[in-house]
Amino acid sequence: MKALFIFLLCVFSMPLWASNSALPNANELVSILDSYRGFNDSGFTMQTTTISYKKDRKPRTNQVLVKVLGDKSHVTFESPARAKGRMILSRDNNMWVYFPGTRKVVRISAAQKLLGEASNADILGTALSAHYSAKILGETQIEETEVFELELLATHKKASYPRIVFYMDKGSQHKPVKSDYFSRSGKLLKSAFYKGFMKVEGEEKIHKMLFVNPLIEGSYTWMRFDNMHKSQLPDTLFNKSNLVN
Amino acid sequence: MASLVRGSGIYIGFKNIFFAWVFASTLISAQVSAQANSNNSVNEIEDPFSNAPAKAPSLLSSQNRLFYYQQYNQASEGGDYSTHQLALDTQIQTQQGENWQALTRLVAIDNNDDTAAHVLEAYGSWSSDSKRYGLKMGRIKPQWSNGYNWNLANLLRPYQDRPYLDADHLEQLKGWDLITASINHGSWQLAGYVVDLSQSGQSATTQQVIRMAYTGNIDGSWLVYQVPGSKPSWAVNLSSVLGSHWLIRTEASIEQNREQSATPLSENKGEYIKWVLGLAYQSTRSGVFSAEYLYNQHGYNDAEWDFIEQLIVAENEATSQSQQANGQLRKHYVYLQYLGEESWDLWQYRQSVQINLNDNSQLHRLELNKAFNGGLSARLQLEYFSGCDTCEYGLAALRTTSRVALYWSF
Repeated sequence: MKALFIFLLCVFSMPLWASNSALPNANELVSILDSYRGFNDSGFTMQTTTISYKKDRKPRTNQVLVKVLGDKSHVTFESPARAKGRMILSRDNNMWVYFPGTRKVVRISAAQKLLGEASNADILGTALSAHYSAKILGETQIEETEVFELELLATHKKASYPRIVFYMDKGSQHKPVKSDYFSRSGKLLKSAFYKGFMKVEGEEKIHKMLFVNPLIEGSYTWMRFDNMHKSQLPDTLFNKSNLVN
Repeated sequence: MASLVRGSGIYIGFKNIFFAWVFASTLISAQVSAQANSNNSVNEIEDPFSNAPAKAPSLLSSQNRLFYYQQYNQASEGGDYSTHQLALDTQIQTQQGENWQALTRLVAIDNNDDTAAHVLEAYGSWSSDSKRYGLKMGRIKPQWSNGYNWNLANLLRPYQDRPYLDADHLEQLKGWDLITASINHGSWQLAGYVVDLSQSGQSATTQQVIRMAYTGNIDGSWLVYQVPGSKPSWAVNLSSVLGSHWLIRTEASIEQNREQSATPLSENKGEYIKWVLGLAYQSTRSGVFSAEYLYNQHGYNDAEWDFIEQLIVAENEATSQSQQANGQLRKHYVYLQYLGEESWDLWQYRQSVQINLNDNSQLHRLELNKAFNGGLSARLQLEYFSGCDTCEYGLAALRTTSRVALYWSF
């Protein structure tokens, strides 16, 4: 009788094992996230347009050209006209800004605000796996979508956000649905909603994002990624000395 | 029985669990409801983007700025007068394939009805496919310093960077005619410069620089400068991040020639050191606070300054004014600056002070920037020079200046 019970238990729990073995682990989910944001280790180029809104105020827009290689990033402002030519370089978790008027390059912190709810860090497009350790907190539901709740904790102090929680579709593609960004004190700074995806060189990529400030009603920022393509980017492009003469 | 149960620990335990459960469910349902509300309201936010993709970047780009300022001056010796400037600053950059680039920056300036045009920069550059090797030739403005106020690593002569950079003073940004070759390897760059010196009135026709630079957690550079036939000068700079908000930087130079002209009391040391230590705190929301200390061995010591004061008292002010134009007159300085975060309505506030610690004279500057849209912006700048009649900033020809500037970028 006991042997029969154990046999039946094994037989009926087999599908459960099978489904568990198909579940991605936390690190795999981070790799999938990175693949939606870029081309992992391959260099790529994209244009990012940011439109920021605040209640009863005029919206603000800027456009940048972003070049990414691994965790290195090179951003050039294309608009507005008064910021055109300004550059941001990110390398080894360090950031510098180049002012074309004076030809000066100065260090900045990654958390420095860019526009509305978007920070410099949000436009860099660099790989999360280089800066965060991951843990699956559980499963939940966002509207109709069943999602994994994936917690990312910064592995160093220079990371732009100490903690991010991603909600990723439990379906086969594990698309990001939402992410919450937290301060060092644990306060929720903003939430990002992934509003559109596009096919680039046969791969699915994020096309549009919406950042929402949970504390200020009517305060939100749209971000759209365009003209994304793989590029042969030399490592020396991300050298501070090559920003200036 | 009921009273027995009510009075027992079991009842109290159940009561606590019940209230905890009610509290937890209320909290969870409130959170779920808030999340649902938040997600619902997010769905109501209209997508502002059209379906058309963004225009791809062009290989030919330009940055143009037309600006005008009117400045009201109060002279130290009394009397008010005004000055004005109209300028067009235009830069065109083009790329030919992956290897060739060219840049030209021209300015046309009408300064108090005196018109001039300058080529600030005009050069061509080539880089290898891997970008490992690079070559540039033409008029270029190298910027080797990493600081906020004092730029000690910019060793090329004639020295055009003045501390307290006046953003409207475009002649400061004029480059040097030079040829430079560089080798890049990962985070490192080694570059050599041969720079024309024939216009400076010196006997040598060239000046040369070798620069090695590193980009990383601690980034820095090391420069050797030499005019043929004389001893080399040196400069080094380093900068790094401390924690998530603090930045630190230091820079030093050792030069063979003293910036200030000698007095009868001066000794020729042969080598003159300058070093600066700077700290900045970058807040994510409230702006940047920065401070710098400068030690300047080129400046006059107390005995030498006593001699200069006698010249000033003897109404030989032209001497002191010309010495003042050569850099910092004394040895110890502090610079403090607060740069506010740009507000949503595109206002930005900056306040700074440069203090001569030897005579406690000060130069204060307050700036208020306002952008009206992507291209049109304005700046109000107020300056106040304070100090005794024979102190560095007290010697300035002006006591106060007020400037209103209007910029159009296109």
